[in-house]
Amino acid sequence: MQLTLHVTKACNLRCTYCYYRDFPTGRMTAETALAATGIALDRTAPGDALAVTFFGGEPLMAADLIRELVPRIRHRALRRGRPATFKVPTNGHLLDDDLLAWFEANGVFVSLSIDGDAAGNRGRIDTEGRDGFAPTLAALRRLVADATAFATYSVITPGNVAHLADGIRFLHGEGARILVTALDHGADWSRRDLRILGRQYRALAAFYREEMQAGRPLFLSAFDGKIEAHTRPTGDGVGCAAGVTQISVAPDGTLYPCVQFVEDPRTAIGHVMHGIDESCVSSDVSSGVPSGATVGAMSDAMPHGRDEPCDDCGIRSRCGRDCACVRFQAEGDTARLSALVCAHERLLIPIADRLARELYRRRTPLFVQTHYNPAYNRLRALEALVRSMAADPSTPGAHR
Amino acid sequence: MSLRIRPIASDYDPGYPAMVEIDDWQALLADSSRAVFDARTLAFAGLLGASMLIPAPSSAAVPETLTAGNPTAAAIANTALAEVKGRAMWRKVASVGTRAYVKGNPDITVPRIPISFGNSMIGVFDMKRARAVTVDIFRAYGVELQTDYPLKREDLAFHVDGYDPERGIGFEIVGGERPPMGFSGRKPGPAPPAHVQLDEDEQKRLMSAVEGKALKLLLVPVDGYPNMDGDQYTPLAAYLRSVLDYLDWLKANGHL
Repeated sequence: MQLTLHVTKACNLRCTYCYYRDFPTGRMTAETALAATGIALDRTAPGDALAVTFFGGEPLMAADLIRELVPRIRHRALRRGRPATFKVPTNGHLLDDDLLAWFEANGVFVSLSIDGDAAGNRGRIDTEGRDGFAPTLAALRRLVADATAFATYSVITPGNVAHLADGIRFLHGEGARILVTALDHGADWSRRDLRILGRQYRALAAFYREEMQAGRPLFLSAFDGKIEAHTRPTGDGVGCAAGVTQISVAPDGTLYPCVQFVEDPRTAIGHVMHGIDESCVSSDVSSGVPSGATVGAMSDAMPHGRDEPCDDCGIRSRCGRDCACVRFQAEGDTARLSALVCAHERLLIPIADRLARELYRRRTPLFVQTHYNPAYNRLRALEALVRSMAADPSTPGAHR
Repeated sequence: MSLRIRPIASDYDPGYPAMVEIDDWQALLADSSRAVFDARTLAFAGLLGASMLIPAPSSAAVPETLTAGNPTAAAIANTALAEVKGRAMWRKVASVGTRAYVKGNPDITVPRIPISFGNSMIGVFDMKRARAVTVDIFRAYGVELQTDYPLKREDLAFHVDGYDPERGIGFEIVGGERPPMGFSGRKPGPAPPAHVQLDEDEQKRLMSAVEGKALKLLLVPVDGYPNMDGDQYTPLAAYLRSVLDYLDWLKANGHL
């Protein structure tokens, strides 16, 4: 079960592509967060993890609340036999050494929002209109130096698409190894922009190939996600968890199906005080209003066997068309397929496949391990442990 | 901009395998493991078990047909499976495995359906169908079950899915009668009355009673049988395998 707590909508940046329209300074109370935790735990099977994300606005503007919540949520989850994991996406401006040390000590995974190099980050400005890149870069360097693991999250927009490949190379050069990219589906993408994106993905593929062949591990979500959807097939499309195993909670306790919906009260599906309103998943889609009701009616509009244009598509099993947030962002309506998503998938998947085909044909060891060995991550963790034991002279047997 | 939904040809081939045959797989992974991981790591992995290094598949293929000590019961199960055979899109990548659910009972069989992104779970298998077929299978073994039987014990009172009070034998599908199906699946049905759905404490007491041999009940957890992306075959096949195994086990132990 994924629980996203929007601890505040306040933000110290004003990124040009942000889907938030206003940034009120109010914040969630601990009581609201814990009530939401109870609702999420009710929907988490015994033994399954409760994955908590502290979202914003900029969540570190409520860092003290996060520090309070992590141990309390973990305790409540464990008491009910569910482990809890924690993630915080942040622009890094408020990530100082003390807070990072606390995150490390308390198992909070940081996902740093940074759109590549300086050129790629021009859309990220602070509330005074100043360039927001330098503090984020400082946070990246802090993470590289002191974090066990972290990810970077880069939004691709028509404004920065030409810098994508250079930007990812830059982040990798700085030391980032888990590199997540996401398309801004709310932007107005021209065919020219998409052609540029194709060139950038091909350049990125060349970079990925170099790294794999050199045996240097990295995770590039754009390619690894699509390749994995083929090597470890999951059925008809990547599916969508919104409102089912994903709940987003606004600062005032209103429940939404996923993060993109939190700005629109029409899409509310309940409140922490009374739980999820089941009527929100039973109305019909005919109103055309992107409400919780419409979200619920997606079962009638999508995805399995109802997307006639996609029925015979050769990549439908790996396509992200079912993501409610993307549909909402791109079309303003969760019941409508997005032509932009389709164009993007048709662009990206063949590039990812050409890359994977070549790496497989050459039996590139790191590629084979990453995509065909289910124990790969366990072995990586074991290797890190073995290395730390060897490096620590106090470890029994380390001298051998 | 006028972008359009435009499918890619249905015979599109990525050009690299989705899954690798087991022999190729072992060779592939053994060679690349040595190239990617240092010798110490592999040595430790070896100490921890070969599965760390080259995990052998722990699951079996989803059965095409079920067999049992009682051929009539097996035929009933296979007839039920035949009705959902067309709804088995996951079967190529799915498998079944065993799970120890209640001490003292034989392991149950559960579906193993791979999923890594999002969540395509659209509820659980058709419990109404499963219960009806289970009653027929028990009958084939000579056990006449009363459905929705009001079982009363000192520490527990609930309506068990099927129970023969004479023999003290029955079955219960444990867990939410109304699992969340959300918007990528069917609408949830009406909430069941409290005496039908056990809370967590009651579930624990029920399992203790079975473990302590006070009750002879086949217990299976409903959330172990997800209906992923429309595959109704795999979870039902796994469930019916559990039912047949339980009854064969009762017979082998002289309870039937």
